[in-house]
Amino acid sequence: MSLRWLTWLLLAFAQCFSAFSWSQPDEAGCSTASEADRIWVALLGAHHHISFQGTLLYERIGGRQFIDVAWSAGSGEARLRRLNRVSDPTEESWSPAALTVGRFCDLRRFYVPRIEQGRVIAGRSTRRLVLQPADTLRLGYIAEVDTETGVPLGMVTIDPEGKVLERYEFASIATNGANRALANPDRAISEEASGSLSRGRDVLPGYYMVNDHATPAAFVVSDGLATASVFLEPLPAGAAPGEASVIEGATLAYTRGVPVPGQKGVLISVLGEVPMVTARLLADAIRPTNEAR
Amino acid sequence: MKTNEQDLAALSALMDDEAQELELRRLLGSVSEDPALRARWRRQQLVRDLIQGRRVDRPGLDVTAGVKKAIGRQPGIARSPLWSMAVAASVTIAVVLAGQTLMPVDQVVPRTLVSELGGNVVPVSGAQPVRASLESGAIPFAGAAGGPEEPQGTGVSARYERLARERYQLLNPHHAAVASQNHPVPYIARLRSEDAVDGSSTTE
Repeated sequence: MSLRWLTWLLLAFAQCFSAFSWSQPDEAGCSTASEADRIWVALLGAHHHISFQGTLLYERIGGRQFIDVAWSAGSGEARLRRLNRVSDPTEESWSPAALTVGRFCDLRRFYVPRIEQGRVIAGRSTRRLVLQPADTLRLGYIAEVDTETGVPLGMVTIDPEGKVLERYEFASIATNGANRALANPDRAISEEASGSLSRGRDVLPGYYMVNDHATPAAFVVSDGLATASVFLEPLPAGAAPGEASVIEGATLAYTRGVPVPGQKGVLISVLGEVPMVTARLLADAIRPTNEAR
Repeated sequence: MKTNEQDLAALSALMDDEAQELELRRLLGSVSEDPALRARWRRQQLVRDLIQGRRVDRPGLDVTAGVKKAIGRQPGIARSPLWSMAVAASVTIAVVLAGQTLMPVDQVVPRTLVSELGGNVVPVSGAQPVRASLESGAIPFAGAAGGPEEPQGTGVSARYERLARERYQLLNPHHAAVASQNHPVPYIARLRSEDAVDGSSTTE
């Protein structure tokens, strides 16, 4: 193996904050204390209990998409068709591991929920769940949650200045099933917390490693609502150190070139639905090590 | 116990993010034994946070034990000057982020942390390594320049803006695919990319 391209280590903020008691994950679980909490748990559990089929509009600056979407809670399979792509759009299907209510206790520490009167969406009454970030490391969300099923019928993503970055809203939807997380949120939390919940190391407060892969070299962190991918590539020959960012809808792309004395540098790219400060901190966590040389 | 000048100098260096690792270790030892020095550190943290516009919700908080413990977990730190630099900065970053986390929501003011370039990256206390190989899977650069050194200044900025846009276009399908696995509304995360690249299937 060539020494020209060396192994790089992502030294994440894994235990940086573990010495401080207020940043420890809530291993003991938690309970709902308000209607906002209960609606939030219902939202997190909706895709595990409710199957549905509908049409939605997704918008961000510079574009909008009309989507047919079908979700099967039993098989965990999602199907979508982008209606305005071509006259006969292809159908995409995949099986996402939708998040569970088990992340509620983590999320509760980093977002402050508030409930408001919702609108009628797709003929259904909703409660508006406002999730305001408790720090500067994440975006805010406003979800219109179906009062019968907990399915988020609409959602707006907003930046720290209150600017709308993207939003979606169902035009029509047909649902099937009963959301146990809506009927008994505390029980759903305790069942999930004692069951299958697993997560990686915490990298920044509230953000956990959820994935890493070699092609392309990347690490993925998520707080349960926001996800960021950190990609590592060789720095192009002759490139000077620098940084820049672009934002498309809610997705920020931040790129930084870091030279390394005596060898090629690395180009760090952070893509995620996160504020700039979070992208920079994630890029900061990338370090070369002497052992790799 | 009388606080000596060496401790005070080390404390000042720490506040300026200039303390070396051994100096920091000695200072932490002194702080644990000297109530006056510990109180001075707290006061200086408070003053610095106020000067830098950070809200101080728990001015009585003593982070020295946590910092000491975090440093103790870092392996081989004294071997590298880079790591020594990292220790001091990690103390700062830990305090900064912890303060942000404690802020009441209505007091949160978005604030951009200054990022150092050219390898002076902000470090990590007690971090654990994760291995990523760049030997394979490098993504081709669209129109990437090679050859001679680039001019500094606006040329660099323009190039990085172009790189950022290219990276977005090339990497967003990968990001959208993993984001759709970690979002309460998975199909929305997928819509952020025109073509997600996970193991999904498409049918006509």
